Amino acid sequence: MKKHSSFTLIEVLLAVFILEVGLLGIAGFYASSLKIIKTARNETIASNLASGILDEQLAISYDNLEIGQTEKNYTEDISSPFHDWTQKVEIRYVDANLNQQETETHMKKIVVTISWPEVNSQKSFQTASIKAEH
Amino acid sequence: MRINTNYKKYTKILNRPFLYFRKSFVFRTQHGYVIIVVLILMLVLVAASYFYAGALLGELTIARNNKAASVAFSLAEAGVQEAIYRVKKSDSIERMQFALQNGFSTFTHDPVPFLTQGGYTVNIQNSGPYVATVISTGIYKTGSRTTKREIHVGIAEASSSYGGGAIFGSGGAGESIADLDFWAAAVNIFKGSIFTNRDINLKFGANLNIESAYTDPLNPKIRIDAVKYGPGDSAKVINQNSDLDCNCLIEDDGDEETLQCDPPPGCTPTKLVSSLGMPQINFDYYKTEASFHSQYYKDQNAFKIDFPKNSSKTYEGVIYVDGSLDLDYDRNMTMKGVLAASGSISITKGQLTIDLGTDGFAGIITQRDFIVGSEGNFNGHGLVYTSDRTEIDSSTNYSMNLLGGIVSRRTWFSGYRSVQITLDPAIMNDTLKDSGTTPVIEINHWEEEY
Amino acid sequence: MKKKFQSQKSFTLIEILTVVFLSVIIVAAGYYLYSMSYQSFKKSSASAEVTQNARIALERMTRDIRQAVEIVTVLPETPDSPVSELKFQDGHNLWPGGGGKIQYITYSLSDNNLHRKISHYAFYDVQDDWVLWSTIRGSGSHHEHPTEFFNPSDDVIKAEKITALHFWGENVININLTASDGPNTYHFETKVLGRNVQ
Repeated sequence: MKKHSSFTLIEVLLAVFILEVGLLGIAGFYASSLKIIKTARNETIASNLASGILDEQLAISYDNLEIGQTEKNYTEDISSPFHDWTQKVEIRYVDANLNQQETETHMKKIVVTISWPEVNSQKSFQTASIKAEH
Repeated sequence: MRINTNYKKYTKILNRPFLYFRKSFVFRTQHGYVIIVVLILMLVLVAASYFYAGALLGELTIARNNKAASVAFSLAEAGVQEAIYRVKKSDSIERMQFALQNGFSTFTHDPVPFLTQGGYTVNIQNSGPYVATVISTGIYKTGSRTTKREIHVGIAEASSSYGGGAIFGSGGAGESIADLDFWAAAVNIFKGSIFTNRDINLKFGANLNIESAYTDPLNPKIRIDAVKYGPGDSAKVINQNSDLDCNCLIEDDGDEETLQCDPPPGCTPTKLVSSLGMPQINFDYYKTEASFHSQYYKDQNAFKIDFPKNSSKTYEGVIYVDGSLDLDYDRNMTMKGVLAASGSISITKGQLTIDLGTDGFAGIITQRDFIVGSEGNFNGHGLVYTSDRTEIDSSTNYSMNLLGGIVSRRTWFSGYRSVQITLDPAIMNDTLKDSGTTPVIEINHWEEEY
Repeated sequence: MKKKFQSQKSFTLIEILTVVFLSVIIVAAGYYLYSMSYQSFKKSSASAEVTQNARIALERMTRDIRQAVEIVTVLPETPDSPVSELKFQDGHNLWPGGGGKIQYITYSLSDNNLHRKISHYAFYDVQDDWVLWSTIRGSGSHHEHPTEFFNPSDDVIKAEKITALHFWGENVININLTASDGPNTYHFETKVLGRNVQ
């Protein structure tokens, strides 16, 4: 009898251990899944904001697209849900191989990067296009 | 052997048939039951998590594709811009092909240096000399998947010199609407004729009167593929000079010989006229001139700073606006010289009068559209040069009176108030100058559906 | 022959009851775990559903507006008093692949649903001739405007759970959208330049 009881106890302990591992895994999974859904949503928001900034830049004529890099907050309005998001717009001359040049090439690249804070990290999304001198 | 005896007794009991099932049952419950139960529970959890993870992965995939599609589209547009760059570059293969009737060229970047997961492939297919459709496919790679977006954009470059015509419509770029349209319009053309590489359409009781004269270099040829009439419409051509060959408007009833006008004696109607290219104009010259007059504006807001709403103002020389310009809020503008814009010029609610300046040229030139709305008024002496569409709506208070001419890719008159255009070849030539490089224009941006 | 049975004394009713009782508890625990995870799944799937509606709404609108030939709705220049409906001439049908007919697309919000309506303008006596919305025919003091025609089947709901939709802007059109199913509310923004309009 004794032999049998102790065998069962080990069994139970082992079983409880497995269950524990499983449950903790699931709990962790749920926690990170909420984070994943939030990131997915933020990525959608980011791609919409970025393509909007790019469209704004494309509305400017070739000559008035200033070479350089400007980085600023997406909005100065503190009541906006995106007041802690930042945008970066970089405009440079590019040559026939699309490599950056310092002097007039009659073609400019526009690179837009949008960044936002998440729980433990800073995420960003980048898109780009080109404007040629017509 | 006491043990043996007990054992025997024990087994005897257990060997009884009705206890057999219970024996094995009891045996199992004590020896693996917990493990199995735990495993079953785990199975439930795993199954639930499996489906949940599947949905989560679906959500992630959708978000990722959404992102990728947006970038792929932007890269497709980049491809179109590079196509324009190449087609303008004097020593490129693309420029050489662009000049041909059926030119074709293609190029790819995979990847693009400024965005390593993206790239694009571009085809440039001519539909005529200096007129082509650019088909650009942008791609963006996320993991093992490649997302594509395709766009079509027409491009055209004016390449000819002015051949005459009070209204010149070049048509072109392969799209379906690039005709001369007169809808419910009353248009009178004096001392000049009209020309289009495409169709002339009259609708809703339009009246078109053309009185051509020998001062028109084009005179009196009128190129028509088909003139479409409806009941209540009329079109008449009167040739003042009987010494020259003439064309009359020919009704499209399938028979090319049916004439609608009364040719003077000795006049041989000809039906086929070769197509003419879009006349060039030197935008760079006007841009430089505007800067010289300190009248270069980087956008219309910069221009409107000194031009308040509900006011009148007169300008001289050349004005160049980078981007589009709209006269609204009852702005009344007089331009003694040339008003130029790289975007569209429109008159939504206002007035624009053009007249000769001291430099000898006058007019409105745009790399896009010229639109006079129903509450807009346009008059004067000068050239109207529109790279894309000219739309004149004379339905409300004003009738339009122009001494000069219209050069456009596509022209549309609507509105019942009368429109009068009198050809002045001198002002046309003086303002078009000796051409020079005309910009490449983009027409008809179209996106593939997904 | 000595048959070996793993030793077990005979069991009692209590033992059986205990086992059954424990089994019930374990099954109950299993069910509880399952329903907890299912509820969690439903909750985040609801949140994802809201986001998905916003995604579809924005993607469709931006693609249509980019190709627009003419924006009919007069938009305010600032976000102070935005409008919730946007009508423009469809640029997709005029060119490659289309029939060349003039038609209009209207995006509007009704009962938290995003509607996309396709319509055209014509004069009542020549209904096959689709004209611009601003065409006027007639003479003197009598002039007429075309009427707008559309099939009820051409008014389609493209997305649900959209609680706010704002358009404003002069050159570039700004779109602000809020999607919500009650507990989950999310804001989205973008800007669109009409490539055929400029």
